[in-house]
Amino acid sequence: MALLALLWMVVLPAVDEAVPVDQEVAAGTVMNADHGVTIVPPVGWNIDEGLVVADGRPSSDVPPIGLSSGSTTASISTLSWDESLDALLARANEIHEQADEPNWHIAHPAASVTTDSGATGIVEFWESPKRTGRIVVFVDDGVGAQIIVSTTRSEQIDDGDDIDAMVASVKFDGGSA
Amino acid sequence: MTSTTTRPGGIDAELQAAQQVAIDQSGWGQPFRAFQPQNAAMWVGAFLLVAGVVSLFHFYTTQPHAYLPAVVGGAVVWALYCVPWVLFLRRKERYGRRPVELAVSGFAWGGLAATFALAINANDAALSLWGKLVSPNFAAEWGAALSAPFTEESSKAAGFVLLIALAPRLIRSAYDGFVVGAFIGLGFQVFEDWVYTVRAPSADLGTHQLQSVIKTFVTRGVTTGLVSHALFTALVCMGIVWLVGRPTEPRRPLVGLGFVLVAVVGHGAFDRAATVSDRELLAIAFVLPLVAIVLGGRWAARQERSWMHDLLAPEAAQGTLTDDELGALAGSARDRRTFVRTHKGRHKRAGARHLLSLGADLAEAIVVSQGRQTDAVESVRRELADARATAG
Repeated sequence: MALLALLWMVVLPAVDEAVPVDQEVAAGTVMNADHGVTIVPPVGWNIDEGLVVADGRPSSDVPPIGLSSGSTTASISTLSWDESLDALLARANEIHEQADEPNWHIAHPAASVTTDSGATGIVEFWESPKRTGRIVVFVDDGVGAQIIVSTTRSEQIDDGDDIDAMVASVKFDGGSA
Repeated sequence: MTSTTTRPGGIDAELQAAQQVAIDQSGWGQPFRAFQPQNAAMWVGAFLLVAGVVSLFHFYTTQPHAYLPAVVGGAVVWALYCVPWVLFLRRKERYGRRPVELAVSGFAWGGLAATFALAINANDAALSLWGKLVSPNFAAEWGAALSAPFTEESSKAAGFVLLIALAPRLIRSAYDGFVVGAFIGLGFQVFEDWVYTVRAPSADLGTHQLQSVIKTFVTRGVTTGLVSHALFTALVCMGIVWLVGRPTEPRRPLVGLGFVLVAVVGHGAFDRAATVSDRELLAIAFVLPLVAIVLGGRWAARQERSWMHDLLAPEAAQGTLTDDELGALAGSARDRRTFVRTHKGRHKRAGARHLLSLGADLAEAIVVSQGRQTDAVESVRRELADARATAG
């Protein structure tokens, strides 16, 4: 019994920790964010979680997308959303603060952001004592998308262009947004 | 068969000896002491239970406050969900009841240690590894089906092995594996379902939490709740008893392995079917374990029925019970139904059921007294006589 506990509580998590994430984003990769939303992740980043469109549409539920590059992380998720863009941002802020960054505050007022396919959303920059980042939300035809980026202060400038490009790549069902 | 209330002067010594053997072998009436500081199993169990509580607390504290309705609503519905299950399982203990403390310990192991200390760590790591070693798509489609049957069934089974080490006189038969395993699985099931209920609101940022709680409850509790952890763990624990053998249960390695395999395959098929919404596979996942539990339960009950017969045979010999009542009390569910149906009229049938209920009480009093003639035993005998007289 003690051996089983050791196996499940220590050995297997340690093996998982030791195996590197080897899902580097290649040029041309497009990811499925569910609800008909796709996104182009930055080349060279790691895919921690999520499904690549080229691998085919899975018959299972589509998980949220998780990406990382150094200490920078980005999560992209979608949901059914019938309310306004502002309401989605407010809700995303609330959940983000409660779940991830307790001492979080908004660093810059919200601004508009437009994707390459023409969808208009809101971007908001946040800060906490240890991390900084941005929350980006879009709403299109009953579908909401949120991108939460979290990084250290030193990396935010390095990754800025990658993140801008990724946000601009958000596409709703054929880019009708 | 006519009933009688007269008592012969003496009871056959053979019957009394057989009764004592049944009491000794079954372990019925024995208390369960969880606190056994000299037993290493207790310390391992205590450590993992504490680890499970810590992990549960960590899980709870990392949930956004905004999801509190789902946290509380989930706790309420899954607590209520246990009620019919507990009644059902206690009913399945018709021959001899295990101590409540044993059932509670099994439930606690399943809900806290197996879920939060063992399986949650193992599952997270296994799913992550499938994603890294094969692909995220593979992990999403096959990860649960290829991991959970092993990580979860072994985590729950570990609790059963631990309880055997703590209560070797109480877990003597495959039927003990059936009952105790079901309680371990039920604990795992409701705590895991609560976790799913709490996580579900993240899909819509908690905007429809009541609907989310109801949907999760209907999906995991009502639609598929019967074929879940309580069933799988009952099969695994019966299999373990047959695999290792007990003093009164001979080893049957192939049978034991077969029951463990049915649970593992059924679990995997269920997870795969649920992931990809495959109805045919889901049907297999439903039918295979259900058939196995019905057949295995009946087979395992034979030992319990034999003990019950030997336990009450002296009472039938001295006229406290009729032979028909003894046959029904030590018989199958069908035997009991047949016994009741032989009584014509609603009142007489109700009287017959009452007699069987008192017969079970008498068996309970006898094992609690360990075969001694106590006031409690005599009291139930008088109740039986009164009930018979009232029934006419």
